[in-house]
Amino acid sequence: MIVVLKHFKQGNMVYVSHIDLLRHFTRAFRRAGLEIEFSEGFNPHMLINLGTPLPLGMNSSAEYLTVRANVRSAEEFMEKYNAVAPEGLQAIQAFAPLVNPNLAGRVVAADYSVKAEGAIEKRKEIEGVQNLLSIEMPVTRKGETKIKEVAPLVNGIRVYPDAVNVCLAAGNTTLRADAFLSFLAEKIGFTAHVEDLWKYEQYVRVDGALTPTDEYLKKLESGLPAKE
Amino acid sequence: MTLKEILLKAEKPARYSGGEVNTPDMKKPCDVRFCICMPDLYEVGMSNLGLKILYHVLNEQEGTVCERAFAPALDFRALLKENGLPLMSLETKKPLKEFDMIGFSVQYEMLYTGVLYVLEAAGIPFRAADRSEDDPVICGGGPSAINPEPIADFFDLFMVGEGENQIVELTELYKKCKKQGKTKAEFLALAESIEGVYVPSLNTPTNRKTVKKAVVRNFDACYYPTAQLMPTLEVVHDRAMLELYRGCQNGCRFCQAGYYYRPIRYRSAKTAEKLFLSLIKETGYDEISLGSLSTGDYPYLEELLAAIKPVAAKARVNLALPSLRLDSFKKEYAESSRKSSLTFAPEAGTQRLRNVINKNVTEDDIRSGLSAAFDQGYNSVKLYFMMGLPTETDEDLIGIADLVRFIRSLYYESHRGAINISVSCSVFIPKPGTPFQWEAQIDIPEMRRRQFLLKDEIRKIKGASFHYHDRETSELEAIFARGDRALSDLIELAYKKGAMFDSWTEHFHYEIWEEAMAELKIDKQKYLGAQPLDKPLPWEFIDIGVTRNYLLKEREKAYRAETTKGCDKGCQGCGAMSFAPCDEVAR
Repeated sequence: MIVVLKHFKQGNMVYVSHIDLLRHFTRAFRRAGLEIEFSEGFNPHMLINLGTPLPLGMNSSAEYLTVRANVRSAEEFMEKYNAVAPEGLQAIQAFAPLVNPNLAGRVVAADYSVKAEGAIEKRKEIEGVQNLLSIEMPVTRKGETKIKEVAPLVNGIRVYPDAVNVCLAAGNTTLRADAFLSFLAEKIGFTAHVEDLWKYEQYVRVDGALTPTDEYLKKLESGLPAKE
Repeated sequence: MTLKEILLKAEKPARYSGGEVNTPDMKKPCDVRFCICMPDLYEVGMSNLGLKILYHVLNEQEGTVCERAFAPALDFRALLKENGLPLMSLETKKPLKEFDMIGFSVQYEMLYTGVLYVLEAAGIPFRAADRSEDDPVICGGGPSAINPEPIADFFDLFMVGEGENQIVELTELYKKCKKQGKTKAEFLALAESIEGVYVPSLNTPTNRKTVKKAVVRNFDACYYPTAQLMPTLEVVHDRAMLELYRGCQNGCRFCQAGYYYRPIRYRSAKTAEKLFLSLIKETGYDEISLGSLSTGDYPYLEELLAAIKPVAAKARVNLALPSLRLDSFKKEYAESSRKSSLTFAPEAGTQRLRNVINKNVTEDDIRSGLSAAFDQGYNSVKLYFMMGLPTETDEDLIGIADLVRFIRSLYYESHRGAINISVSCSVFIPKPGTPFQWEAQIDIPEMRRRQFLLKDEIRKIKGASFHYHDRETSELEAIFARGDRALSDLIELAYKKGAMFDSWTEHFHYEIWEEAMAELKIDKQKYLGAQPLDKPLPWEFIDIGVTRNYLLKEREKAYRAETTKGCDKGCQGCGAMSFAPCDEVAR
């Protein structure tokens, strides 16, 4: 059956790179005695699909991985995995979609939260940024800085007494939350602790609308077809 | 900056973050905090079996906590410095300076400057004599402890030999001394009575006690960790290791490990099988290596493979059999493993020279071993050789090329397509504890001449490639291997002049060492030339069990190109049995 595991990435595990994360899962599944399907060929490997890579250092409570495993239920899978997984990568929920959810291809946005000081006083100004038709942000890549139009990549901004939450494009086109929040903090003048970012929700597009991944996976558990 | 911000600026922060799966309880009440430290990068240090054994055995003890530290990469060292932070342990981020004891595992000579690099990053004075009562006790161990003299001034004590029992005894003694309020000096004086412990400050080159290496007596029952630490980033040897036995029956005359780890002690097939099953369950690795000095010579190998192969196949775990000798290579060994590349070490190109070094591999062995491998589908062979061996002539070097041609034609007798033969040639380094410990090393111009002679020969062979070791590194390694206490000054001066990470080609600068030698008026010839047979060598106060007489006898036989039979063909009386029973004799 297909199992989607929703898991944390936090604590010491935020330093683990995407490729090493994959290694971690293969080892954890073997420790747990879980029977995972393997690829064929010269170098058989476990069929595991990870989601979009999380930048090093970022915490998340909304990471997803998909496997094909020989288990009775998604819950059993999660229980066995959690018994051998490190604290920073514990699973939160497990789904058993009837079809492959192809999350990597469908993810379009994610919610992030950052601890902030001095933001609530400038709430209007900060939240106003989401309505701007143009946001020109300098983006540095390989030592070269370019001005990039990011307005279409910003889905929403909410300011709380001690935090700023943003919903940004993720997936094929990604706006890095740490870069955007640093930019915002500098532009408007507040403090954002971007080294301690949390990603807490991830969206896929269903029937043209942003749908939380959990909701989408629940639908797939009963087999409802979903349009992109 | 917070530690997290610093870590995120570092290249590969997981090297320093800790939090590995199978990390023992770091919060339990403890009377001694030990930090085991490998003066090399995380990726290298975490590949070491000895480190894992000692780390886990210490954490098993009530009242003992053992953490780890590795040499920080240059970028992270700079970040620490910028932020005024000392080197910390991975587990609890405690500065190294605050530990009770630090144990350096010194795997080989080129890591000597690494020890100073780590001490400096930790803010601990280099020399034992300059350290205070508050500084940790600095211990040294690993293969380099067979000749601790070149680094003697930097250490409070050395643990010579096998560490798993000795390190527990040592930490228990430390706890007792701490409770009784004893000074460091009092602790060191008592530590000397533990098997294999050497305290340089209590021994001078002219007035010293003999130190007997520590040996595990009941190897089959001895502690072995199966819930091994799982690295959080890819390391050099990223697989679980099952150690099948200690010692080696072959007695190759250049090989330090072959003499140092005597007598032979086997793990029973039953114990090995049990450990194997636990390793799969507790590590989850997709590859388990059956390790030893010569795995093909493990007498219970077939029995063990028959028992574990089905389990490995079901769990989809690949079996790795390293250290196979050509004469012991059998079809069934290779069957379950992936057919990528085979590695063998004939070490010398002609039968005469192989007899000199007692590498008892014949052309027939090569023929039958490789034919079996080729039939299995292998088409890539790696061959290891050494040059500069005692009595070596150009004919022996050309013999290497002839051997490569022979292997190539062997392949084409029954196969088609391309074959890859990679030839790696290191330079002979006379090592303490071997029959060749008195021999000279060839000088750098001669190394160069021989390397190019062989290179030109191999170049003519289609499908063959040639790699050789750096000459200057090989020379420095030989100087250290047979060094005396005068070299502590050299190591410190060279380090201060910028020598570090000497095992890395891009960081190795021989000019620094030559300059330091000139300044200190150290004549390298003293260490590189042939050593007198009638005088004690600087390391001979260390008793490894194998007697001087036996080594001398082996040396004479080498010069007569006479071989010595393996221990499995009858005891040769090397002397190691006086330390512990030899399982080969008992068999």
